[in-house]
Amino acid sequence: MDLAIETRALNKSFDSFKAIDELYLKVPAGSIFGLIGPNGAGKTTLIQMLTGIIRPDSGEAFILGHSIRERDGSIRNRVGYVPDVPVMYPNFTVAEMYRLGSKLYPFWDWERCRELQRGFRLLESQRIRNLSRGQKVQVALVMALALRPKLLLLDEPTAGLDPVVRRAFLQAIIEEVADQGTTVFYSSHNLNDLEQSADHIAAIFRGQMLFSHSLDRLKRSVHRLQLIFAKDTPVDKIRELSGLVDWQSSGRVVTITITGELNTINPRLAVLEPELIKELNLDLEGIFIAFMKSKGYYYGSEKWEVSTGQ
Amino acid sequence: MVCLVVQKEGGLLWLDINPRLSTPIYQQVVDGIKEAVARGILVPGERIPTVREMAAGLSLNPNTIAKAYQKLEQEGIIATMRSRGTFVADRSSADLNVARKKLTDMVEKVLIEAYHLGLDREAIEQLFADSLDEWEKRGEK
Amino acid sequence: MRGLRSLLWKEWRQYRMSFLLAFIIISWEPVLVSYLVYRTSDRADAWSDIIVNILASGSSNTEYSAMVVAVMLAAFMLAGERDKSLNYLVSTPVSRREIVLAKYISGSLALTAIMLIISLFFLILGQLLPAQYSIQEVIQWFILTTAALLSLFSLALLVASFSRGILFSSLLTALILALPGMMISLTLQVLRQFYQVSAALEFKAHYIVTYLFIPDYIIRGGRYIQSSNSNLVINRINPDYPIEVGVLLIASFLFLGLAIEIFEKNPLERQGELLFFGNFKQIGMIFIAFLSAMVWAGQMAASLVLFLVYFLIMWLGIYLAMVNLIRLINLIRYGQV
Repeated sequence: MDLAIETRALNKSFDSFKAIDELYLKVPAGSIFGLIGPNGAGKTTLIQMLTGIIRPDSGEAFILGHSIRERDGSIRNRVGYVPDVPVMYPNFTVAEMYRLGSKLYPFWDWERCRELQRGFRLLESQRIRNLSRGQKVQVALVMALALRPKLLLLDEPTAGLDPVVRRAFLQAIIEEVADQGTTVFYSSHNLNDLEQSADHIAAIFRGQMLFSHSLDRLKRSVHRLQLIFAKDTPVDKIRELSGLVDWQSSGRVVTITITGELNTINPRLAVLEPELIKELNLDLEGIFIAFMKSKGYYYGSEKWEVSTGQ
Repeated sequence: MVCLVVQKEGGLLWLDINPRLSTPIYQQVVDGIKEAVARGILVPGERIPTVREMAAGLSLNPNTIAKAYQKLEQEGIIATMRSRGTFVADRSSADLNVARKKLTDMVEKVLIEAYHLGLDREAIEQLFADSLDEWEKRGEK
Repeated sequence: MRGLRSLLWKEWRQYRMSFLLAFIIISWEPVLVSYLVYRTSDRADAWSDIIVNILASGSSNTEYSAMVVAVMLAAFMLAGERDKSLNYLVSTPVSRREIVLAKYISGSLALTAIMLIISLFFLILGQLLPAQYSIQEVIQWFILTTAALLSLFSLALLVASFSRGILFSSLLTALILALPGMMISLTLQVLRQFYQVSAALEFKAHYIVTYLFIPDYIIRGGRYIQSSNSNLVINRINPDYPIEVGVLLIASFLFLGLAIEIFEKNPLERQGELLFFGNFKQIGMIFIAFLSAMVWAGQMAASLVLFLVYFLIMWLGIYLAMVNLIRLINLIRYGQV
């Protein structure tokens, strides 16, 4: 399996704050890979290390087969990057940014650039500093796609974009993957977008990898089940269920979120002798929130709590 | 909810894909197309959108669509004709696909034996040609 | 280096207005003042008074402005870009080496061009009107001053490769410029307490400092030092061209090499300035502790040996005291260390 991105035992600290902690990541080539995690979990730090803005303390990372420690800039010839707040050069016009891109990237495609530019309806004569954040993201995306990338690194690109632009953005990426087999690695809080477009999801929390699966496998391996009991709910036995991520009880009804394949879970549940077992729908947001809760990151009675967790 | 509406003479094909369901998207596509074929909305020999067209049309991951098409092809529901597109398979061609697969597996086993016997490509081709000739001769009788 | 050419275009497009501004700042004095004097004075060669001053004294406004511009330009081009366009640039297919090189080349070319235009202005006018200076003087001034400005620019670029902020970077460059001189003076002062320092030694020290302090290559005043008993004189009024220009240019390349090395290793973090051997707070504290220990120990010790002992103890002590004082302050302010 070809890996577009790979990290091994990656570590990064800022003063005494550990931002990335022994991270192992594998992103298959040609996939759309989503990175999710709470704010401050290390998503931006990871992406900045992959693009070369930040250097890791220890560990290895490879993009398109090249180590990020290489001094040669040409490893980024086919890597497009859209940060969460694109800066670029405020005094340059949009046209001048494109011109710069065409000089810096050897595979720059003016046709594709113009085609995307027209699609996004940007004014080439406008200066970057006069653009709204969403428009800057669009310019950055046009540039990232016009360079004919093999890998796209996107850091919360659709945050704060209106739905029309967001849809256009997603569409452009999907077309790129369909036509060119580009790998897309993107961090986002927008789980709906990810659920629709990603084939792999990884979750990061406090600099550590929580899980990394194909989306299909993730959905197959986590289930939300409702158990209705005739009499008292066997709370102790429920707590001891292996693979339990989260549970809530209300009277005789217990809702559990549990990992594992259904055919192994059902026998384990049958032991508890519930009157009825019903499977509820569990989307990516539900999976994410359940996992975060198990790690101690959840909404408490009055305020956000981050306990020491498990 | 994401819908694909494909205009075709006489009717509409719809695929109701909800990414937020526990059912994986590729499975939803497989089930959706199977249902359309079963209901006669899609008839054998009819062209269905390519992986790219469907992915772009539904804003879904092309790999996911490709996975769905692969499964459908394995089950003999659809068939891809290179450079002509993807079509709903005929009843007969559905059986043909399954039979084809079986044959391919068998041929592979023959090839493995041939390799172990030390036959090169020419010898293998000669073997098949001879057998075919023999077969045809017997058929004529 | 394909990337280098693209970068040079980018540097020009990005900084052309800044280069123009630099030109105006450096050239307004000779151009404007000469013109005004020309219009108002009776003496035919009065207009060249200001130019003569520039050429001869090396301490005119023009030269001071040029030195400040050279330092601030480098700070502006590198340290001022952190967290802004520099983050973008580093993520493109150019290496960090090419980034620094492009800034060095474009900044140096700009400074050289500015000096060249001014010198041509002097030369041409000198041919058209009666002047008090010669062609040779102009050419010599051009070569030496430009070499000094280039090495100032490189030094500032080196400092900008690990510091953040235009003002901070410029001030730090000024500090580093003065550092060798300061260290030598300090050492002499300490030695004077224990030994009778000969005038010759003092003199030699000053002589060395004039070679270490880059502005002294431009400023004539710094080249002329008389010892306290008027016996010895440092007179570098007439520069030793080949050596001095050579030293300046070599220094310029050396600083460039270091700048590239440091920038390649330097992370562009948002939190805290990071050198590869510590951060600024620590280094600042070590430095302050060093200075205060030197002065204090110097006052207290009776002999050189005692001085060294006191000095080392005090250096460590003052440093640790500062570290813990800051921890205490943080504890009071934030409730955590």
